[in-house]
Amino acid sequence: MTDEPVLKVRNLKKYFPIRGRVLKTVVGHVHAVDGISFDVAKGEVLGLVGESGCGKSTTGRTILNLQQATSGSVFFAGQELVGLSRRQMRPIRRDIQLVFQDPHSSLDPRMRVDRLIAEPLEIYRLLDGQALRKRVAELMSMVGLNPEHASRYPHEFSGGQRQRIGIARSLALNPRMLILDEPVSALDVSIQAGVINMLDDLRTQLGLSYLFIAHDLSVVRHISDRVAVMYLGKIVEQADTAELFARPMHPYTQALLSAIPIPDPQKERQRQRILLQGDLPNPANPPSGCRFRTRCFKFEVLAADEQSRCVNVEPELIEHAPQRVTACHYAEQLPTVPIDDLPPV
Amino acid sequence: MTMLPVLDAGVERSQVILTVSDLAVTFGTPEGPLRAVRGLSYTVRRRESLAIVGESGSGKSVTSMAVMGLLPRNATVTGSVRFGETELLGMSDKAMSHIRGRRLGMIFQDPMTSLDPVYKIGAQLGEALQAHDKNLSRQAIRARCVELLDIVGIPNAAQRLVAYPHEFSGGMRQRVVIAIAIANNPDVIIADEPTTALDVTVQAVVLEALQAAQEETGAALVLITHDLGVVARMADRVLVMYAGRAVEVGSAEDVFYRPRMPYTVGLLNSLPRIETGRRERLTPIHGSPPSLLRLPSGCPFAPRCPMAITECTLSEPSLDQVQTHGARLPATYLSTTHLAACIRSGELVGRDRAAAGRVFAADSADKDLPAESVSALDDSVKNVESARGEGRGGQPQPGQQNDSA
Repeated sequence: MTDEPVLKVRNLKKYFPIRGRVLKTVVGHVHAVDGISFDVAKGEVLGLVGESGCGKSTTGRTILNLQQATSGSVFFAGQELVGLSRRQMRPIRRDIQLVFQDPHSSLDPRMRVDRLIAEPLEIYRLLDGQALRKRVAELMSMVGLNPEHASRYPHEFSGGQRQRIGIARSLALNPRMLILDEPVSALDVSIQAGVINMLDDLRTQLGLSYLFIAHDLSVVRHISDRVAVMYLGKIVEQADTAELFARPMHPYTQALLSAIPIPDPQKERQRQRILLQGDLPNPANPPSGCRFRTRCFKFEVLAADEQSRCVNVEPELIEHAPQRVTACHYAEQLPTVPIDDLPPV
Repeated sequence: MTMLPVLDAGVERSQVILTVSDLAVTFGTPEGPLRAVRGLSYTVRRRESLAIVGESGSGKSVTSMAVMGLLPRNATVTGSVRFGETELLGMSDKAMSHIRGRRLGMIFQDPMTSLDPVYKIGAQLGEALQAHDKNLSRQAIRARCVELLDIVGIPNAAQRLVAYPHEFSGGMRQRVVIAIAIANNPDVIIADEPTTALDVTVQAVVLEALQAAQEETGAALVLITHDLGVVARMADRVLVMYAGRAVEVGSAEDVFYRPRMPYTVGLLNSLPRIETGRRERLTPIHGSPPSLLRLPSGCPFAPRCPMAITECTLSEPSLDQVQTHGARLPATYLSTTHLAACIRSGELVGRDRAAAGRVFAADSADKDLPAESVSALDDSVKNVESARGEGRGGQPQPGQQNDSA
């Protein structure tokens, strides 16, 4: 990947103000996204994973300027997006599209499917008449729908098909990048598989880049080239997918991977599990030093002087190998999930 | 309608704690009768874990609501649910509430439908104990509450008794619900998607608590879930539901490693897996589940099945013992055997999960519209949800059962 990345995020922060009950003065901030950096190359899928409240969805929305970043930079194809007005964002929104989780609420129930898919093309006044109809049919085939159903309404489609309609809409303007926010988590597994295959195919056919935001690590592993793990507004580890899943380095990633139940009774029952203590700390008042230390199983067994480093010094993302960074003072590789046939190291 | 009781092979009758025979649940809807469960039979043995899996609308939750007597008024329930020696269907609400919460523990997806926000945790746990034993002293109740919270892994249990549910995180609340469910040493715990709303690290802790609770009480567990990973972790036996019927039953090993019903095969191969080194292309199941208002004749999975032949559409296949070698055997016995409802299951013999999965194509289109809107089922399910919602507080409020058996 020698090309300039399509998306470059640098030290992005998004704080939400907390207002007092009476005077509505700002009494603090929720540190939803607290200084994260990553790149997405052309044709690449970066998986952004984390549990609820870690800031992964906020990251997606802030990149698109749907909410203003507190600080930091977002470069899309070399252009800075932070600070752009709505009008200035308009041409950029053609190139970078957002796909939402819930296909029931993101489609207007009173619009026919062909109108829904044509809407972005009409807004940008790109096509009309016969050419528009042709493009809609092409988009429907592209997402695996039958173009003959163009005059139907969303309620006549299944959940998986509605998600496909949403994706067809986002592809209408020939974007270069999709930000997919939990695109398959509302779907049953048998349906989900078809949508994942389709996203995989579209990426190859159209040379798209994805920022794939999800909590389901098996889905993320399946579709991503690289994975970034978020915890409480920070990226704690970023690595090539195979590397990350085979030998995670950050204790949080290790706990996360060990907690996924795998659909294989014998393996699942033999597994060592890391159980995390306590709850996610309040993002308005994150712990000093390492944010994960309050729940970290490694922290507990460290000597007092080693612990003081976790408490006082915020761990930086350290590059352990090319494209492999971890934010832990005491990172070490740990195989957590029994893997059948490991790819050669 | 009398049904032959379904017995376990090689299992003493006294070992069976719950026997469901030919259970059928029909909801009256404006669009006609909706048959959510159609002739389901299974047994649960003492101390065992049975997982009921299926996708949305398969009838897995409705089944458990029927067993607990919590279905709304528009549901007609037939068949038989025997709990030990007691028939539960047709029982009065009052009699039923002596069993629920004492011999039958319940855990639902959202802990806030089980916990009352205005009472302290200790009061709610104590209520569960007192409801079934009026003679308990205050000290005894308090001691037992602390013990229960300990079992489910809540630290500083004694101090936590005076906390309100909102002071707890989702995972802690669900652990309190588990503590309430096991408060009276039940014989059976029914857990309906107990960890679906939780993050994966929290899920791991809650499942651990559930296992500890089961061990402590020696209760059998009926776990309703769509997550096959959770099934693999928890279940001794697995029952797969599709369109209101059991389509495959067997030990966890049989179902996961040697699936014999094409639907199970498809389900297992549609999962992205983290435990294999390669990235296998996923094999989706095409189409959508049939409308329960108007089921197709024959096998309900036939329209989506890559192995379907004309014969499949003629009559609905019965749940029979899978062939090892030779002819199919009738299902006289459940539980220790491996059963599948497919006339072609014999052709899958000798194939493991991945090999069987090759009957499905790994493509990515989804061209057919669903047979019919499934909104009617959604509404019925909403009724179930609201029936649950009314059950806030110590004792869930039971719905009316119209038992015609």
